[in-house]
Amino acid sequence: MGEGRPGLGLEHRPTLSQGDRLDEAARALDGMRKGLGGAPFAGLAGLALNPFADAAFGEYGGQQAFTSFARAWDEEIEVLAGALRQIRGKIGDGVALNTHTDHGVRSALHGIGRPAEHRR
Amino acid sequence: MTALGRRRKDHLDTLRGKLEELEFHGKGGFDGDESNLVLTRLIKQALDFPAPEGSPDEVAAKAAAYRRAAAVADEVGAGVRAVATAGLPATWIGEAGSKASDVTKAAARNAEQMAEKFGTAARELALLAEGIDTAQSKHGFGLDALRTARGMLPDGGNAFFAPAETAGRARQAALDGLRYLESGVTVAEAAGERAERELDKLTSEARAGRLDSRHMTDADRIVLADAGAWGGDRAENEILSTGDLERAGLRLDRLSAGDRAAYDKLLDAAKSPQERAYLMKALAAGYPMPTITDFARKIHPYGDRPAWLQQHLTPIVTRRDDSRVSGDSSQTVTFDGREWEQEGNTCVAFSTVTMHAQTDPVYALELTTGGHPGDPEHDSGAAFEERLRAEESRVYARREGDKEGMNGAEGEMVADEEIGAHTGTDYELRFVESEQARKDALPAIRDAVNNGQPVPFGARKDDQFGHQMVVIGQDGGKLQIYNPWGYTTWVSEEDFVNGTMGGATDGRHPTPTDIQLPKQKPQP
Repeated sequence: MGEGRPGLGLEHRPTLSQGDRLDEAARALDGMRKGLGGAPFAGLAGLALNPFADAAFGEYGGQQAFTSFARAWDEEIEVLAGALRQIRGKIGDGVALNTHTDHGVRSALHGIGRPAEHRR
Repeated sequence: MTALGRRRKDHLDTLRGKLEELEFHGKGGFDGDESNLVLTRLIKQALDFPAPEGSPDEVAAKAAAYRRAAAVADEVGAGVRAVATAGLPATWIGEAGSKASDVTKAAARNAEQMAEKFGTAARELALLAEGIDTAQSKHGFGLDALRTARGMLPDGGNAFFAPAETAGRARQAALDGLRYLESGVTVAEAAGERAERELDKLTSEARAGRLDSRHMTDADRIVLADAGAWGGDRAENEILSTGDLERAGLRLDRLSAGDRAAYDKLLDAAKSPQERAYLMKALAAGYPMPTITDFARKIHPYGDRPAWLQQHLTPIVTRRDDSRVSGDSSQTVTFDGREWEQEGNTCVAFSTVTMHAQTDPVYALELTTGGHPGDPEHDSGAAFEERLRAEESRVYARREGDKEGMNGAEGEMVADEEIGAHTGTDYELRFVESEQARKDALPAIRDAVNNGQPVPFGARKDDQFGHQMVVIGQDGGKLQIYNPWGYTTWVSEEDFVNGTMGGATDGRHPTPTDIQLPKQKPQP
């Protein structure tokens, strides 16, 4: 998903499966993060880099407020993309588990509300 | 006005005063004047005055980036909404399916909120860019005028020989320059203050990321942050404040393995995202597992009844029909027909009790049901009123002696004991008797309520007996107030600062004079 692209086309591709739609949405969020300056720095743990800090926003509160805002929403985008991928993962499981009993499905899907992976 | 703005304007005032004090007597030729040299020095100092910082182009570029991001988030929201609307495969129907469906719906709402917030951010950043640009232009005009003033005087030490008429014209040009410099400060400061207020509010609305626990998946975060109390817009009535989300995450990571397993069972059994959110709020409020288990047992039969949960666990909701008009006291706070309204001179004690209930669902359940949900002997308006009066008296009895009302120090003490103990904050009494003091306190008030920490304050008219109310929210230059006369209302920040917020109390207590500001305590 490049910056400035007018649309994702998510609404215009009725043949997409639910899983595909979620995948595309998560990828769009990844692209959005990059466009806003967040994602490229995500892997540089330990470096004291803050991609949202510069001196462009003035000295009367705008700079600090923007830095906090950009950080908080960068994290929010990351969490939302992660959640969409988790749902997508469960949808894949669901298709494979169609022949199982309801009880079996419930057990397999239990992890939707539980930590199957740790992001931090 | 910010401290920096005040310093800068004071500096300009000093320069202006010195310029205006100068008297020029030079007659030209060799008949010079020492005042001319002072004038030259003052003009130089004014030329060194710092320009408003910032890059309008960079800020405008960020505004454009957030505008594009808003469009993307909007499409993401529509795509995820389509997944949620179409429903999940039939095999998902059941307990687990319902949870997956909750996540999908919450994710769609999260993306839709993101689109809205990024749109707002784009608008605010564009305004900031415009403000910085205008401020820098005004500063530039000021420098032009000052350079003109300097150019009127002969270079260097030769300024000494300028005639009085020339020096007078140079001073006038310099004063014009100072006015532009001051105007630049005013515009830059106003733009920065607005950006700070609006961006801070938007920051507080990025909530899912605040729940930072190794025990929570991204899906959990999205669902829990999304859970709203019944009766109003979800986005304005989140069950878990940002402070709750942070404290709950920390507490989760510190539970013993046994407690963690017991807590997981409670979460797994919850019938709705709202029930889970209240369990998290009880954890955030600092209760031990046996208390939380008892709380869970009592609310679980009503876990799929959001209206019941709200009425018993969240006294105050911002309803959709709230006009937000100053003086409108129609938003009554009630339980089963009984108002959360003080009886006697107990505004401090009673508003503290209400805020305790608003921030602590275990306490709220005890007040509304006496620990017996569904039992009409206990879970009724009449029984609630009895318990409410007992709590009002208990807190009121914390004052010294048997005087009428409670003072600021006593207000601070009970705020710490009843509210701070459950929101992880330490209240500090601050006197705000001047307009400037109230204006200075506004950012801290906004921060606190954005984090779900109520801010009690005393208001009065002249030297009359005062009244305590509580700031519980803020939005677009307005403050939401809980008045222990039994209702919520809104006042403009301007009226709060000017001491003209009589609309909250039928004109009886218009001027805030002291506030209880919560400060975050380190987690034990």
